[in-house]
Amino acid sequence: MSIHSRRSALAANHRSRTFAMSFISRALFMMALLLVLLCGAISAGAQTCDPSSSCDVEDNAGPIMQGPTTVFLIFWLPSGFHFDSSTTNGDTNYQNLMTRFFNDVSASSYLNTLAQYPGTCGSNIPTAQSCLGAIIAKPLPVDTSAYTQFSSSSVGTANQPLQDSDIQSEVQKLVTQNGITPGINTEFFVFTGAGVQECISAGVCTTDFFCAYHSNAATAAGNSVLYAYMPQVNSISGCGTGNGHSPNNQTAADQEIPVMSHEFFESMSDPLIGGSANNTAWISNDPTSQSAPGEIGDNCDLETGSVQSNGSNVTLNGNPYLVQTIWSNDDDACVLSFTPPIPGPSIEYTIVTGGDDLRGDSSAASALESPAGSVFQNVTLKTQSQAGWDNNSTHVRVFQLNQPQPPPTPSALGNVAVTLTSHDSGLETPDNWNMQSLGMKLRNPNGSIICTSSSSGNPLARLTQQAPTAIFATPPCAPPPSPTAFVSVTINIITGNDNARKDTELWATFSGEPALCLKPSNNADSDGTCNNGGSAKDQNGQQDWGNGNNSTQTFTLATPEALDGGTVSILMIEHNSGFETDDNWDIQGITITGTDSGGNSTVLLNMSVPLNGNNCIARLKGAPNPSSVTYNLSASAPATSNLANPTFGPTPPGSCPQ
Amino acid sequence: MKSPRAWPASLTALFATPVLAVAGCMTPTPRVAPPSGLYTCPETVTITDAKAGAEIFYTTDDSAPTTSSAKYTGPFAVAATDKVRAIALAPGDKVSHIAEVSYTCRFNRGDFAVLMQQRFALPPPKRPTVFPDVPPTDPIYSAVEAVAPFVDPLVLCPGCALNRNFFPNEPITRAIATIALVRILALRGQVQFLSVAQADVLLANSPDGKQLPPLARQYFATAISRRIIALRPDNRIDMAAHDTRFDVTDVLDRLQTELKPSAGAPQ
Repeated sequence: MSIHSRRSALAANHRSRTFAMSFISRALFMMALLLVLLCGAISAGAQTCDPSSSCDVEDNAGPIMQGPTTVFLIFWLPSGFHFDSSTTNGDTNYQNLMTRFFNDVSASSYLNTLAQYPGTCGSNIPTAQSCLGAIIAKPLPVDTSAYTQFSSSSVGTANQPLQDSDIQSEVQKLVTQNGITPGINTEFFVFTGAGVQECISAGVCTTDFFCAYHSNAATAAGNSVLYAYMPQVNSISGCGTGNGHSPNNQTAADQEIPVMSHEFFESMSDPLIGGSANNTAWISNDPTSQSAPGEIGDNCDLETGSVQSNGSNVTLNGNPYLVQTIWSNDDDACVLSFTPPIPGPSIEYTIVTGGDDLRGDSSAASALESPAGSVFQNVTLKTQSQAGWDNNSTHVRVFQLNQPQPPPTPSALGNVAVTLTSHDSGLETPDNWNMQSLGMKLRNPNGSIICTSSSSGNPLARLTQQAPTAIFATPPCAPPPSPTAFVSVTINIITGNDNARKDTELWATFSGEPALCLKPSNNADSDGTCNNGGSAKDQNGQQDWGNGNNSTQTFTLATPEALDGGTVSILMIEHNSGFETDDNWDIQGITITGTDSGGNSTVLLNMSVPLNGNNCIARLKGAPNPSSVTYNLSASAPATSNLANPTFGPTPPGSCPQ
Repeated sequence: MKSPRAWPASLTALFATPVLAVAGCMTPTPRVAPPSGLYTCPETVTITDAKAGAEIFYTTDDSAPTTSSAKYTGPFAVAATDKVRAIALAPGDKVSHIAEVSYTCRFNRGDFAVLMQQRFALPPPKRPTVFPDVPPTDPIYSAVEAVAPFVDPLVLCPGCALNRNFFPNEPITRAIATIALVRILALRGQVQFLSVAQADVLLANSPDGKQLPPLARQYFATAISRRIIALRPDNRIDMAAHDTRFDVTDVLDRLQTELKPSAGAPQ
């Protein structure tokens, strides 16, 4: 795109339309101007993007975070520092609220905003969550190490700020201490106390530049370590939302969450920002665009939209939060939700307008044709109420792709038609619109690209009242069949050298499903998952899972589930009598097989280590020690599935001290 | 025959100067305050003499002061980067040595916004913008609002959530001034961005340049190629350096003659 052609973005009033400035129109214009002055939106200092320009983020083919995602929270708080000193338990409450947010954001319509920013995210997807798996929050024990532990000159003041290298060192330290394997589905959020200053590079500091950031580094083994630095933003002028709302009556924590949500959503959709250009995912590409190289949080920096009387703008899992709005390509606006999610194959349009804009009061639509020429789906590219598309601006839309009917599938996609509809007022001439380029991507449900198509010209097409439709041929693409849905699971668990007692209750929970009872307790009442009680037994008639026990049980799922790409969590719940010490349980191996309605079975998890003394793959203990473990499910790599929350040391599989 | 030896020109000038009146002792050198340094201008300058009854003469144009120079009558202001030179002359005494002090005016982000608005007549954004530290009633608000879209810190920190403040009293850094200038000129069609590959070549030996994010490399390489900035002798961009008004106006003046606006370019 030539820079010359971008001039019109600066002169927003250089529109192509013929506008007869009659007395009436002047009057209307003045009224509109008055309305804007009285009611017009006011953008934040960080320049919320004007939607008629190139605000839309584009897919640069880099990876996105794969669901399920584990967020490790690192609270770095040396003695004398506080997250929230307003109350006695302020620091603890702060930490708990940060953790609760990440747990609550799972499967929310707020998180669904990410569904329109797909990428390859695993071998398959959880049902109804698109590429987004569960978000699993794992707070690590508070680190009270001094801020000088890595460099004596970095103490966190304005004169001697912490450096980004200090944040990376802190993450690496806790990764090692906790035996965590970083990857594209894991992020570390590092929180420091109020008043602590930090610089990401020379002259780019909390003192006069940023409120937080996300970034990435690499381990010696080459794994990406995704992390976000979260200063206590309530102590930094210019980093609050400006409204002081506190839906949880914890001002410091409540005001942290908008900035944290900004970083979290950007991490999910563009985790390797700052890496090589080839790794970039969803950002604004045009170097002169107002928000370049903005991610989906930047266009809405610190904007919260409408706030309820309790100070919240969303309710997540029943809890109120004040979060930042997120840029939605499809809405051309900052939003708090996106429905429905995109569970199936998708089609992505990237359209660049040429030297004649698409007016604000015009609309545009696209029809998808089968190879035989019949239209099987219509999508709206721009509604009449959305902002116009300025000359030389880029706009991106993603839609679920409905497979052509009737079957058989797979079917190929035929032509794609784009139609302009001009909705002229009496004072306007009909709208004309130049399309400079059209890019399309068809994706599998897991986000992997089936095929792409790109056409450009100067212009590629000119849509007018006389010829409002342009038809583009697409390469033959075949949407894949829907993911396999499993109706039951078979769970095999081998106990290692430490048993699960009769009074201990064991659950297995698959993403999207209610918990399953692996073993009831003989010392508890029924709880909705296990029919506990004195004579309660598992499917094999066992009350105790002794050392070396090999348990295989089959469960019917509540609803058919894809499972592949999802998770399973194994939870141990103690019901000790008054004379017992805590129970500890070693898992030596676990195999999970899904079975579909046709009776076909697929191994989704198969991990074990040979018994050798006191080794195991996971050791669950009574609270407050880790009492659960979560595994990823993968049909393509069931034996190497990453352990999703190894929050206990040493790194399993390995020695499991008794 | 030997020709008479000519006196050095400096001595000739010295004798021609009225200050070389026949007198007794040398007048003490006057004291100029504040001392040399970086200041938020305008800065008030005070010159004092150490001998009662002495008169003080000074210049601000880098010329040597004489008794024909401006006579000091009270504190005065320097509004730009200036060198103040002063002499004192007490009755019956010889003229003093020259006192010399250099002032560099700090060039703040607010000053930068005003200057850019003046030079480029930047249009206001479509929607009013809120800056917690620059209220709409502030005289520089319109300039700040107009220049803010071009002062894009995301180029330097692509993963950052940005501060909403404009920080009008903070010094403008070389990095921010460069980004703003390149963006404005690019949107006016007066510069073309170098590609990432071209930028990588140009910054290959720049220790801080080659570590920048890809888009920032494009911005700074474009700026270097168009002589908006020059690499330091050690090849650094020196992004955190504080630009002075002189630095920026010098570039703007040169660009004004070098870069002709494209036909129809918005002003």
